[in-house]
Amino acid sequence: MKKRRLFLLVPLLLLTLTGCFGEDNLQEPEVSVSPAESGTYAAEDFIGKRIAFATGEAFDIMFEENVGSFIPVHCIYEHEAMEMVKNGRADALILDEPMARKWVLLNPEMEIIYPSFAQYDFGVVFNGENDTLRLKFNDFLREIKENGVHADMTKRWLDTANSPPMPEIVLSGNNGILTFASAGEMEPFGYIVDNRAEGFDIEIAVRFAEYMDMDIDIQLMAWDALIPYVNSGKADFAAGLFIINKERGESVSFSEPYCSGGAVLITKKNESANVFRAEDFAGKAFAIITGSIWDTVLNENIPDAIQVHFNTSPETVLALRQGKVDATFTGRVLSERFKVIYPDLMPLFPAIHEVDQAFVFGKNNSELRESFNDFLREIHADGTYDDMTERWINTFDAPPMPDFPNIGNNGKLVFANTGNNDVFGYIQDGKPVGFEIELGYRFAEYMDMELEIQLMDFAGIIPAVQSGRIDFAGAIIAVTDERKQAVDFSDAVFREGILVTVRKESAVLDGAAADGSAESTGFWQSLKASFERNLIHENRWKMILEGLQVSMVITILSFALATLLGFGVCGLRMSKNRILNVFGNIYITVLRGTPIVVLLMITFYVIFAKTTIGGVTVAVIAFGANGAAFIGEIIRAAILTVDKGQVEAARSMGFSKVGAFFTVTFPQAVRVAFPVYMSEFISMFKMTAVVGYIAVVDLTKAGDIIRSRTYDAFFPLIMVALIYLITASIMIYLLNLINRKTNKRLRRDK
Amino acid sequence: MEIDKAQNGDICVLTLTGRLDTATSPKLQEILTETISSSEKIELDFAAVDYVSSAGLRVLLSGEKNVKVNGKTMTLKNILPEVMEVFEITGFSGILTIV
Amino acid sequence: MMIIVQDLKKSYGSFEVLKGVSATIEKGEVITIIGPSGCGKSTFLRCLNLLEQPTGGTIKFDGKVLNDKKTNINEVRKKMGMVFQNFNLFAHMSVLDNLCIGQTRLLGMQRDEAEKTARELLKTVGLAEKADNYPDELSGGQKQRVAIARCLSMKPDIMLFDEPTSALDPTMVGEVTAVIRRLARDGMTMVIVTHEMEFAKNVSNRIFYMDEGGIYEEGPPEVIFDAPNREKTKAFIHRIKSFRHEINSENFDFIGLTNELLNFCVANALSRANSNKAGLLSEELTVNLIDKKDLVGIYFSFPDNQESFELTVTYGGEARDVTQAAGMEADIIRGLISDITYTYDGTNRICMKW
Repeated sequence: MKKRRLFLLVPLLLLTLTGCFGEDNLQEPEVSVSPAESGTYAAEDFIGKRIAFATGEAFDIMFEENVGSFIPVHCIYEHEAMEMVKNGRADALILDEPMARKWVLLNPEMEIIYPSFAQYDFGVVFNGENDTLRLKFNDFLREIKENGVHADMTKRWLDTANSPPMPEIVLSGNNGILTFASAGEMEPFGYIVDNRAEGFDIEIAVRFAEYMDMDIDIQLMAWDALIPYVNSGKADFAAGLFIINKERGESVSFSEPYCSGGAVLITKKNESANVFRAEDFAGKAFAIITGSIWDTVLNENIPDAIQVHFNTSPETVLALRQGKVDATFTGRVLSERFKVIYPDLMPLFPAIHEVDQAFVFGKNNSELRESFNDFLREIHADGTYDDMTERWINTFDAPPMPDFPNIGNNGKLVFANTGNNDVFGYIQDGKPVGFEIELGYRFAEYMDMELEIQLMDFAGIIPAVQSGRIDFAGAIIAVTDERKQAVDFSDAVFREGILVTVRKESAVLDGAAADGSAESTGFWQSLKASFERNLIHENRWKMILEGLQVSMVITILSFALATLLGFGVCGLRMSKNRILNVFGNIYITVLRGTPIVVLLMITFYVIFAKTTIGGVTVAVIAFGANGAAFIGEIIRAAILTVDKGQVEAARSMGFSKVGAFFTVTFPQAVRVAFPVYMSEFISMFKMTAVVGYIAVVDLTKAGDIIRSRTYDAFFPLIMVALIYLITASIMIYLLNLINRKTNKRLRRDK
Repeated sequence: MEIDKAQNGDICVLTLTGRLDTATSPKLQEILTETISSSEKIELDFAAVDYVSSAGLRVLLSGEKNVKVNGKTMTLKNILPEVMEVFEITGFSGILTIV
Repeated sequence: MMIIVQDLKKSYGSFEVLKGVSATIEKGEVITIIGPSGCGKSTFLRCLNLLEQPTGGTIKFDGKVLNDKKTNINEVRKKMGMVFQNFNLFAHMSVLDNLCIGQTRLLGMQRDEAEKTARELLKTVGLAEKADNYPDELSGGQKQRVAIARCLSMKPDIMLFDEPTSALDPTMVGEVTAVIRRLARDGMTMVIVTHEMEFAKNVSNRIFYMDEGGIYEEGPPEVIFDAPNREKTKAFIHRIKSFRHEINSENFDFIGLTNELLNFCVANALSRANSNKAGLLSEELTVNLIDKKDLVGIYFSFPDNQESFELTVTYGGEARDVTQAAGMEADIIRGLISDITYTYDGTNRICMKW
């Protein structure tokens, strides 16, 4: 029986809801609202959106006057408006502030948007002809405000979630009966509990009756009827959250304000919206950049987060988009661009951390640093800084980099940057541009020096500044105490907020759709688009070619050095002298056992720290020394394969030791060693991919830089791999050709 | 050394194969004694014996004495030359009945 | 005198291989060195061109002391050629190049002249058509002939051969010894270490039999091979086989001894008659005639041609000739063997020969 009744209720409810009429709201799909930069919604966010409200008060006019235009969704009752928002047929509703608080407490999935966009006072309405009552009421009001009853009432009715009990007030009714009209549906002002009227307004009315030593007759009716009722004399006074305004005041008599409020918007809290809550991220995986402050931020705020280390910003973004991690960080500045570039990512507000970013200088370079601070003060004062901010940070499209002649009479300033941070320092048309880059050029100009820009991974920048290879660096480096121990910071260059960034629901990226274009484009089309974007646009193929050149030069030089040293190492190993032997063994053990990346960095940052030797030279030395260990062993093994008897035969013919070596051992050893020697060469070619660590732009780094601009995962990586493969194959072919030409026997057999 | 016993009519034939030396003589001693006590006529086939030392000779002598006492006969046949040489040196060729 | 060796000593660590060897080698001589393995034949040869560094003594070649630090050994070696057991051809060069390389690099000749000489030499060793082949394409015999030609390309005064045919299978030995014979006929001074006795006999002027760390006996082939003077020479020449068994009286195991003796006889293809004879003699003596506690040992030997045999039994205790005892056992022994020698030198020794 009961079920059938409920069933009937549903269509009734639906009918009621349709009582809210609005022009378009039934067909419009939900449009999501994004919060302002402050991190929470603001009334301004709802301009042009659908706002529901109960007709009666001039909320629409208030909103239009104070905020802006909107699409009104008219409802008769407040709870209808609430339903509209809950069902998604309106984006927000307007309520009086005290009422709003109560309602939101009862509906925790909603939230109030502060501040109220209109403030006003409420007054009790009296018949215009009976002013005595009204004046008496004002006196009463003053009294309860002074003796704290009003404050207590406010506390009980307006600031709690639960309805307090109506206080028992015994009315004598000696002086007659006061008729009080109330709407009866405005919790917590006037509403019905167990068939009794309760609420703030009700209590005020009852207390007034007590004050007047009268009894009270409470009449409940539709809100629209309240004022006519009073004006017609059927009720003595009425309360219905009437806002005291001039217009209404022409037809009714208001008491003094008995309550104040404001109009606020109430909207749904979007559970998956861009609000950052630390507890949501317990145990989640974060992509962080090695050497940045992000790990400290995590340790302080989300200590049990899993930290996944990457080298560059584009990598962290990619990892997030591909679902490899749950979150990463973005600067507030970039987050704006994210909305367009990565519709699948969502920065969360508020920022988890606010940080000052500054340029770094070596500890013994305080003079330069002071000059920079002076320079900063100057550009702040003369408006250059603001202009730069306007151009780089506040506009969405990348502005053209101003031209700097970059000639200096006082020498060179070496500036390091990662080259892969949008807005601040990135590569365009093969040249570094950005906010920090421009700062660098301007400072150089200020110092009358020439700026030399070196690109390197973030992790290498501070060591490079420390060791004196770089004069100063800027790569959105946050000021931290730990870093201050290694380097000195200039005054703050930029203040940035760090935002936790996540994927929107089900927005995990696969490789092919990494370009952010609609996933429904065909494979060949997206390939063509990738090709264009990664190679043709901004002539990026030139970078690739230059990178390839660098890779090859390093490979060939290192290999030549490795071969030369390799003979030496072999000699040590095969020597009859014990000391030389031991030395050779140590050399081989150390250099074969140390990973090449570590070796490279030790060479660059430790051995050649205080020098001006460039990255390419250092790379050649490191790879050469490393290769020598392997090649030395290759040569030794090859020599051992040669039959000692043949050497004896040569010696017994009269060849000297050296003569026998070059006549007998060497030619045969070479034959044996050649295949392994060749693979060692190819191996070395591939190993050079790590030189990016020491600020050399080789083929891999070039691909990296391109990737940081196009944010493609698939195309640049595959392309770079292919280029390595093709180049290696060509080299193998050439080496084989040499082998064939010099091998008499193979020629004879042809 | 292998010793095969076979009956050929009323003769018991012992066919010997191998060496008759200090190690193997006791076996012959045992079987010979047993055969003599159970047979009237005993024949020893030496075709496959290429080595006889003094230990073997002693066993044969004891066997010969045994048959003589009991009125039985023991004959040796098919003796190889090198063995024969030893019999002759020691004079056993006269003592034993050799065919 | 081309080579004079004086008191040559060579030790490897504490092991002294050559204990002070002296010899002379005249021009035009062909000397063959024979002897048991490990007695220093190759070591001696390799000292002659200083492939082994002597630890004592001197070697003089054409008046120059070879193992003197001041001597330029490379120059000296150009006049000495060495042929190795494992040929040691230069594997990465063709046959022709093997023959030319020494001429062009060491003798300073022009390539075309060197080639001419090379081809001539190849003809003389019968391998003209193999000039462009590589060593791994040749048979062992061919390789060795090329090796000899390579030596000859340097026009040496003396050639040293270190077991030139030992690595060849019998079918190829002939082609190599033929070449060596021709060289000898043409008057080349040669020192050859070999196991080929027949070859040594008819190619040599002198034979060095090396044993006991030096030249044990030397002489012309007819002496050394047919009538050696000294014991070991004889033993070597006749290729005497011997069996020795020491008896620990507690463990005297007749069956064990029999088996060992039998195995030795079988291993050396001894006829059954002789094998049994040895066994019989040994049995009678060790089992019957000599007290177990007095037994010392048995020694049995015979030359490769099995024309004579010797069996010796030694025993302790008081001096007595057990074969003189009465009884079947002693009769057997005396009957089998005519030549019995009894000696006592603190140990009783019966030596039987047939």
